[in-house]
Amino acid sequence: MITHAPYSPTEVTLSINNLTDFDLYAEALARAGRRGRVPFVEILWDNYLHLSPKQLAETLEPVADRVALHIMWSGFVHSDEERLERVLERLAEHVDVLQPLYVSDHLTRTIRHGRYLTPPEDLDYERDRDRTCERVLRYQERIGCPLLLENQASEGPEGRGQADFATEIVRRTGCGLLFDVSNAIVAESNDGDPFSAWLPALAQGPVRAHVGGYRPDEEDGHLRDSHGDPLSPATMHAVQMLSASGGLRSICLERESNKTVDAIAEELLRLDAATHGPRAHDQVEGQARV
Amino acid sequence: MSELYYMRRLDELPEVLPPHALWQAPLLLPRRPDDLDERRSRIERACTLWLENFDLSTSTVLMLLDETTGELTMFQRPLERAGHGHRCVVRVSGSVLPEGELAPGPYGLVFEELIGDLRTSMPHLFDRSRGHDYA
Repeated sequence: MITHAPYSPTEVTLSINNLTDFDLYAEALARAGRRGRVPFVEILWDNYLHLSPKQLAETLEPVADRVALHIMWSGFVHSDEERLERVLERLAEHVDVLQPLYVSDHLTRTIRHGRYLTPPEDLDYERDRDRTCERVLRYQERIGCPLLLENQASEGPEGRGQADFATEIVRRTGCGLLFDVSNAIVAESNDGDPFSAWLPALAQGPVRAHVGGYRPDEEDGHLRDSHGDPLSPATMHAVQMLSASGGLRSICLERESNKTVDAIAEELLRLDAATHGPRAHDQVEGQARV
Repeated sequence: MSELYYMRRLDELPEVLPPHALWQAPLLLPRRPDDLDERRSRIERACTLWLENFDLSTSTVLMLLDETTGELTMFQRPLERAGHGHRCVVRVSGSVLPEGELAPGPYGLVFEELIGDLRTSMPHLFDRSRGHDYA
């Protein structure tokens, strides 16, 4: 068990993207006892970057006081120079105005031999070390703040070594970890790193985290990150363990398909229960009934 | 992979593909170029990918002209709060655009990405009484 002191409660929030009516989130938040608002909201920046930062701030103001920017498709490790510079220039404009709580990206490979990869693949955890460090340093210099990196939901044994890789990148660049609890469980199930491989990195201090649903692939039986299924018992157990040890600063629910008010509200309440204990859950449920 | 490149199996894909934006992937390897249903389906998928902005583009409008059918499809990214004017799709048949304004793309289509708001610049396209197909 890892422990952090002093203990502070884990903030529970959610990730939203621009392809859903915001009213759905507002209603789900209200039903989960939050009166339609959260302390901060994470957005998938890819879906918003065409907006000016001022427009974006106005869009998000009714939902939260602060914003966190999450980027999925920068492909920053292997992106060509011109594309990377274009993306970072735009992101820097948004960061400058919005002053986000954090900026996060993915430790993944999104393109190979001109083919786009969906879902993205694991990086090569031996050969990509220096390149990743160099790109993370440039990323951080360009946006003027530390970058958080999300772990990959490895689909096979090629994912072994990810935790050690991430730890080294954090040490060499001063970036942080955005720990996706469900991704770590998926990776272990698919013969990638065991969940316990992340514990040394998590012991360095409380982290920002993600959770989302996953399901077995119909063809090969491997687990796939779906963001559309209920949070698994293994995910909830891990959240409870990490939160109890003070290891989670915040946890963000990612739900991008099968999105309903009931589903989002229920998952937020489950996360409340896992991070604050059953009593907090009862209180929140009580508020939700009022 | 079938969703992205319209391939049933990964090994059907060429080892190396020419440079393309991710939204263009469904248009890249046509199986039956003359099949208009397949063509439309691929265009729909391509534009969904464009709307989701996998390519991290700052443009707000995509114009896609199928020179074979003369059908122009325009897609508008949300400019305000989600749920208000998002996923605007306009189809206009028999369109003629000035030659040379649109870049050639995969599948014999031509396209242009630009920054703008179709609802203010082309309000007539949103008039249902004129028979345009939009969503």
